[in-house]
Amino acid sequence: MDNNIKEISRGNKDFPWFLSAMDDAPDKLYYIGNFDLLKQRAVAIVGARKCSEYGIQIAAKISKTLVYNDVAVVSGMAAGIDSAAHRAAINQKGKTIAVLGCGVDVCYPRTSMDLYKKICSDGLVISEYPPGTEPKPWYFPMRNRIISAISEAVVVVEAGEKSGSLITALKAAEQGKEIFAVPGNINNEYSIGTNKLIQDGARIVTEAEDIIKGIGIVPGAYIKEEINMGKDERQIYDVLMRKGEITLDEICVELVKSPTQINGVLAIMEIKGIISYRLGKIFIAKF
Amino acid sequence: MLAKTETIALKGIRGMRVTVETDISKGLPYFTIIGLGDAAVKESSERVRRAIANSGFKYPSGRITVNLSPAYAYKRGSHYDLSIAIGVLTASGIIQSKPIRRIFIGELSLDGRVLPVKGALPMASFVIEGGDDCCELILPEANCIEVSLVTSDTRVKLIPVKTLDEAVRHVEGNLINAYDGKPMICRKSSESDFADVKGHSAAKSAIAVAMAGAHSILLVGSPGTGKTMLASRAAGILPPMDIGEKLETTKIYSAAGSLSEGMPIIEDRPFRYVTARATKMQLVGGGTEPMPGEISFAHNGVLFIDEMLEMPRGILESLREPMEEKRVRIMRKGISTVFPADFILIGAANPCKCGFLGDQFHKCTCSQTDIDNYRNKLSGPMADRIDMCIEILKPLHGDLTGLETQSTCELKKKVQIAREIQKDRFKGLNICCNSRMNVSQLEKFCVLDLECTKFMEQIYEVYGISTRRYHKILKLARTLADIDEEEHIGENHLASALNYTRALSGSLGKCDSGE
Repeated sequence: MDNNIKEISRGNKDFPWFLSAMDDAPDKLYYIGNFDLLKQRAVAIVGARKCSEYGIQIAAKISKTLVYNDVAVVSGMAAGIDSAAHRAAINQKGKTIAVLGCGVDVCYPRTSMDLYKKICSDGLVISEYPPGTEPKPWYFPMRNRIISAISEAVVVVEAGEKSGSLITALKAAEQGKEIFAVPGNINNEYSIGTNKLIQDGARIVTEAEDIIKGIGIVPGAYIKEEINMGKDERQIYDVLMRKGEITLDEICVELVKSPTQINGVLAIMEIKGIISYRLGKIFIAKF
Repeated sequence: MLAKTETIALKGIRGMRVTVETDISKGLPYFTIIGLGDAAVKESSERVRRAIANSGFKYPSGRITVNLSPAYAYKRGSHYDLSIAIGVLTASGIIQSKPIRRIFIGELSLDGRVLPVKGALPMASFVIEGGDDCCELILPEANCIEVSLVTSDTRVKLIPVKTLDEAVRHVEGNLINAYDGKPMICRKSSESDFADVKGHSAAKSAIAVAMAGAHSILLVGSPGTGKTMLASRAAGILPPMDIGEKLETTKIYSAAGSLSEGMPIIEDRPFRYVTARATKMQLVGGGTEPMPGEISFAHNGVLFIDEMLEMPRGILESLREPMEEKRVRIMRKGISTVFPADFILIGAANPCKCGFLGDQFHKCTCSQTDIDNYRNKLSGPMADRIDMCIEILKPLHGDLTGLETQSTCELKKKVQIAREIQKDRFKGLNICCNSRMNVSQLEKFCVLDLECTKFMEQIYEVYGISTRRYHKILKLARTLADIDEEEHIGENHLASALNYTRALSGSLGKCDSGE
């Protein structure tokens, strides 16, 4: 892995101009992967590590839409929203850039090793910290300025009241970038930050294409994937579309079927990637 | 003069014949008991002396030596009193004993009364297993009900005695009528019914599946959502214990002295509640005098561990052997004692450390690291021990006030049907439930058709499930098919089983499953 780490200094002609133009520009960048991705149009998707299934789904959906329109997805590879955005981009064979708050050879969080390896091979991992640097809490707000600097716009998906993602938004605002925020339930602790961002003037995301349009791209006609479903699956899917999230008990009541019957169908739907589970609730994973 | 009487020593719930040799020789008055007795046995000399005197017999003068043979085995408890007293009286010539095999069990009070002892049932069942079924068992009246569980259909005579005097008169030929009471049925109708748990229909049917195949199950949910309520009703839907199971379970309670007048026989399948603060000794048993732990008390029933993820790893690890072997072995002073421990495990856990992750109205105060650490406990030793995992959510208010709910009776029927099918299937094998199948039995009884094989291949390859989970899914699917009364496992059963094991693979703990 160590052999793949490359570095580039501020003086180099390949050093991105939008980074050297910053007041607190990094002197050196370390990276693994395809450095040319920085020349691409890119949008950052950031959010809290602790998030809801809604946040994960939305992050994935926005990420997919960006990839579909050939925009690179930038994020910080943290757990939660960041990982969901990266993962969706990788799965769609899109381009993605991870900006780390530690050395580029350090995978943090460790549990995301598979994701880290994939981004290293298919995307780009960059950091201003020398290889081997362990993550420190104060490194993360610092790296957020790089996330916003290399992106044309920053989308905050879910953020609590004191989330680090709000720092990214602040930096982005200072750098004159477009800020989008995904609205949420006002009772939801994970959406307080984003709702406040909207109040403060961030652009609201009502559909994933808003972001594409916001950076001046005419979104390509989104071809809705044909989902092959049986009768039972279709019934459950329809109930889910109507309710957004639902528990197994509620489906049983709605369709007047026994839990054991439904359970099997749900497992198959999960294998197909139509639904996902979180804390006992069932969500639609494919829109 | 030398006299010999017989009694039984207990090691765990296994008996051992003990001959009480009493010798009275000339010399200064002295009373000693040898043969590795514990403090209760040593003190027996004082009780015997006063009980004999207070019953109106002459206490012999001279040097009394009592040997509990075989002398190498440890002897514990107070039930040797009666046999020692009879031995002393015989040796001193007060009793002219008749050549009938008699076994004496009982503790003496100073006034000559015979008090109930613990472990009477395992002792009696040792006598019967030993094959000498034409002997007399003389024991405290209060122990007769539990003991009649084994003796009712054998030729062993139960002689209930209330006092030492009665016992002496019986031995002298003034026979007391043998106890002929049938095992008393004192069945308490279970107070808790599943009908009281409103909503939770998915959880109830999952528990029914667990009970039907004896699969262990973990309930994950916020505090107050009904995990304990659900678990405490689980034992009620199991089919009633047969006489052999009752005997096994009652033996354990008898050995621990946990039987009472109100509950002389364990009739209902036990439900044992353990919190995460339980010590290892409390859970698996132990002590200087090896005592059964909760896992043995839950034998043939349900063991419920609340806050299971809070339990220290070491203690949880101690469940490994008992769950594999269905018995627990306790080593003390170089002697191993074995207690049976065949139970169905139900665990309960919060979704996170503070308990409110995903709760709509309470804020979860855990950091992501806290949550990850907490959830990671579900992997490793924990996941090995659990076949199914379901999430319990707060029922809607409509469910709480609603009338429609599955009752214990309905669920019991389902379980009963599935259990009977399994009984037929495993006839002649030493297992009774799907969850106990080994790999070769799995291959024999869980035959998949082409489509199902393809399905399993898909989830094995694509999902990357472990071999252990693969086997768990097959066993669960077998139970699900049994509940549906279908001979062959269908794809729906496999998918359903997959769903019940879903949370065990770690997806429960991951926040960034993404897509």
